[in-house]
Amino acid sequence: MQTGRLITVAVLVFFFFGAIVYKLYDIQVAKHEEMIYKARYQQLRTEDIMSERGRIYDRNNVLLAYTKIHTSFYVNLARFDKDEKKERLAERFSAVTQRPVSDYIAIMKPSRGKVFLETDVPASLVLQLKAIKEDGLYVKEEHERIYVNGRMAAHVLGFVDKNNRGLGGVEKSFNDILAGRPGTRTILQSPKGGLITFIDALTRQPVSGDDLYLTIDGKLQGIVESELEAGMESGNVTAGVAILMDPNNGEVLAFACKEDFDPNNYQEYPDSLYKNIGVTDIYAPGSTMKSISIAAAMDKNLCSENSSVYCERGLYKPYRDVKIRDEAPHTWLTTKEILAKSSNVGVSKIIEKMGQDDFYSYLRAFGFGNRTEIALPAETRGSLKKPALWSGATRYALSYGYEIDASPLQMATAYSALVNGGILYEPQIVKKLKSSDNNKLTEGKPKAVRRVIEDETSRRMRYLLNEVVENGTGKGAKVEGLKVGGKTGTSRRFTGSAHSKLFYSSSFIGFFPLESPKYVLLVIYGTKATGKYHGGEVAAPVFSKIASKIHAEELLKKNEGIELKFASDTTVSGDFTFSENYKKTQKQNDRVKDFNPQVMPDLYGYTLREAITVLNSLKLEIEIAGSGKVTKQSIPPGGAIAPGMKCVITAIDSNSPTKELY
Amino acid sequence: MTRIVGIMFASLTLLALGLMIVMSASNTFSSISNGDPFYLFYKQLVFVAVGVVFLFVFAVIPYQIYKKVSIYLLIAGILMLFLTLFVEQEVKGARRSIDLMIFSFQPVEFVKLALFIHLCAMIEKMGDRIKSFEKGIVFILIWLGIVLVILLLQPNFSSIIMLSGLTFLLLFLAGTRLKHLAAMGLSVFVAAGFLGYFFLGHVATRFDRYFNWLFGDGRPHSQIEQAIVALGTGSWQGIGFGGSRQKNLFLSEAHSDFIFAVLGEETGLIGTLVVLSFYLLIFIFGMIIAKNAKDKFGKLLGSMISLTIIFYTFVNVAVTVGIFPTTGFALPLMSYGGSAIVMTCISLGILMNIGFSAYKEAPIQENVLNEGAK
Repeated sequence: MQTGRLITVAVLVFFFFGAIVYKLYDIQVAKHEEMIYKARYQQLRTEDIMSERGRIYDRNNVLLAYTKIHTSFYVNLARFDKDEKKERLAERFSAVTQRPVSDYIAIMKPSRGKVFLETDVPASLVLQLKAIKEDGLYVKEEHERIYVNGRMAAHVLGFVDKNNRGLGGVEKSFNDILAGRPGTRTILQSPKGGLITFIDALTRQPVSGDDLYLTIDGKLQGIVESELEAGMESGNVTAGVAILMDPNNGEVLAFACKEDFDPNNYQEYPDSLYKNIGVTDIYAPGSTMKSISIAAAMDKNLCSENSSVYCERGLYKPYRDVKIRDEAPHTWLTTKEILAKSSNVGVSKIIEKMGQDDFYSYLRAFGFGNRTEIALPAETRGSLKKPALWSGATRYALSYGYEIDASPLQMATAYSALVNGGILYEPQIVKKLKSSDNNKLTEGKPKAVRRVIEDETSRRMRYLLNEVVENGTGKGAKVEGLKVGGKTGTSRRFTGSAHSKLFYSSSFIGFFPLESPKYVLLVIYGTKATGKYHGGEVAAPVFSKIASKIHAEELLKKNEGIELKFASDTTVSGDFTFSENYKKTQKQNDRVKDFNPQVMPDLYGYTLREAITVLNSLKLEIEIAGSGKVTKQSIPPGGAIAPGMKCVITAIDSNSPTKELY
Repeated sequence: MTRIVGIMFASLTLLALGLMIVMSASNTFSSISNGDPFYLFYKQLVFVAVGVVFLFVFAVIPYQIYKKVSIYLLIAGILMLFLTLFVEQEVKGARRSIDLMIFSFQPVEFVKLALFIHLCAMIEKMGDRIKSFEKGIVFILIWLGIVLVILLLQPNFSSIIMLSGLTFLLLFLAGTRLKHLAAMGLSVFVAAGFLGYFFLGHVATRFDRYFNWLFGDGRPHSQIEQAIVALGTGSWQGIGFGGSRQKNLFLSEAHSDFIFAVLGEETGLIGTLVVLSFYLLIFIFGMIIAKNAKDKFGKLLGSMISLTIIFYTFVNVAVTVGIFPTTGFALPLMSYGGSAIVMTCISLGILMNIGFSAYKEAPIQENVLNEGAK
């Protein structure tokens, strides 16, 4: 054997060795980043862990809505192909649940597929069963939103879909607060997307949502709802809304809409029932507007209780083709009588004395044409034309509630200002929040928007409105042993192109007690002209019933000397109102918290938007590649950073290939 | 003595390391195919145990014995190889193994060793006739030809290339004339290449894809792609033993042909280089043993065993890093597979014995002389 040839062969081998080492270095070290990216992309997948939604209480801490977690355990039988393994699992389950082992063996009889061993496990057993760890055994948690009282306050509460998303009422408007923050779990997956294991180190635990305490009083809500419903039995009523408010701070105590639905099974009801028509829909306020007009005139000293106006025997023509009619041929009426008898001509002639701009300012001040900013979704602003767009007839029409559209809530809010001493409050639906992580309470403050009329005007209006009930169209609203005030309204409903003579909005808005009103109550029905449709006949009696029940309730409370007080933990009086908070939280995100400005955080799994917010707060220069969730960052987590450093973040859309967890 | 201990140490280390990687790499595959995540690992444990026993047994059997029986070994091997054509079911389109109840045996592993033992013995016997084509080389080619024809029928194109190449190297080391080698090399490789390319479908597609990837903008075989992802995940230090994620069915054959990728993922460049160094160590010590062997048979057989191991290693790694198209060769001593483990251990045992015999005769006499001088 020649040494030369041996060396030749050896050199060949070393050359080969060198080539492989170079290639290995190239792949393992030089292209490491690229390969890690590819590996993560195919090996890992993230999945949301639902957070527990916050509970909803009424103002007296009575539970209205909560989330129930249904825990089920299932096995992937492909991973249980040995009988001993099945038996072992069956025995361990049986030890906890006391069900016979043979039951579980029977369930696991098939050789493939997914079977549930236990569904809807009682909470007392969940932890014990969760402690059983076995390859191929999985836990499934389903969140069900329970509305304790079924239909009660459905339109205020709203409802939640399967993905923990609020779709109506406060569930929607406070969704971010209630929903909490879902966690994410990183799953090590097989090429077909099957679960291999969870990577615990990358798990982000969910944060439960905060609890909400509404201004709604469950007891009063019940009264209002049952009476509103009872008032619909006559048959020619199509819909009803009742709003009970505390005029002194704008808190909504009861809010009912009919027809209603059961948020527990909202899917079984037509979509049209979901919306809170008291907030989203408009109507022509009709005669209920007259008290607003007279209050404006009285505030401007253009009339007083006993100043008289000639009512033209029921037909007034301020212009040639403008006709204003009364139902009766009145002659001379005092302001008090105009309101009590609800004379269109009378109120028109009073408003005639006022400048258009002044009248418009009063209407705006009462909140017409603006949203009340209550924290409920899809609120309408109603409609109120600017004086520049008014015709000659507009101010007359406005004075008795036409050419203007308002939501029932806007009317209730305006009446609150009318009787509470003249201050317009923003209506509130949420009283306080309880944070889920430290049980801190944040209480909302009433928000006074503006003074609308003088205190004295308001006081005088209360007596005028009392007169309506005592001697006028609102006699039906009388309550025994309680002095109330209010105004009826009957307006043609606008159907398509004109105000209908068949469909009416029949309303009564009142307040009690007379001297220092604690409640403003609005009752509106949609009626047909085929039966009773006057507000005084349809809505006023319902007002009366509700008011007398509330009055009785109050007497009872006073006698028993019970005052329900909230067991406060730590109360923080925030200098904000909930509507502002609501708007703020729309965009706020808890994940974007404070980070140490010198240390790079781990952004893996963040959305790009979150990551950008974080990096901005750290004053880093950002370069972005891709979209979706962050998978890579050029500065490693924990690395030292300083403002102005450049960080490249790479994101991929992990949702695109949807993979099923078996 | 250093060389023999060195080879033994390197071999046992690689076997042990191989076991660890097989335990990790076969884990997911085993639990899915069998339910027991250690199913393949336990089998491999048995193979390695048998292999180690053979390693030591063959280290003490004097290697000169093979000269006399090599012809029978080779004929037996060829017969077994021939049997595979009739007995066995196809695995991925080829018939390569015989099921021996306990494990399936791949005769090609045996034939590989038997062929080189016999060829070395023949060349020693031929003496200077090896410089002639008609009187020497042609007999070598006849034996090789018989083996290659059966391999062609299996079909096992990778082994054909490997055995042809190694025989070529053997002839080169044996001292044939370069013009003969050049002529043979050209004709055989060109002919084999054409045969394979045009008659064996899977070879053609593999090569097409390979050349397309090498020179065009195509993508490598997905298996190789996954292997490269596994290697790249490792960086310098790797993600630790048992930490491989690519083994979760992304990388098929993770425990056999692509075990090097899992090694790279779990132990990083440091691990892969250390392992390659061990193979290189075996090669260098093997070549030194061969050079110092007493007879031409020992010299040739020693270098052939060293070359076989290092070439199978390099080809396996070259496939894993994407230099070569997929071949289906195991990584000697590490990949899962009984036949390969046991036959490699036997080869190494023989190599060690060649080393021993060089010591037994010359150095001992020297010692005696030295003592006498004193």
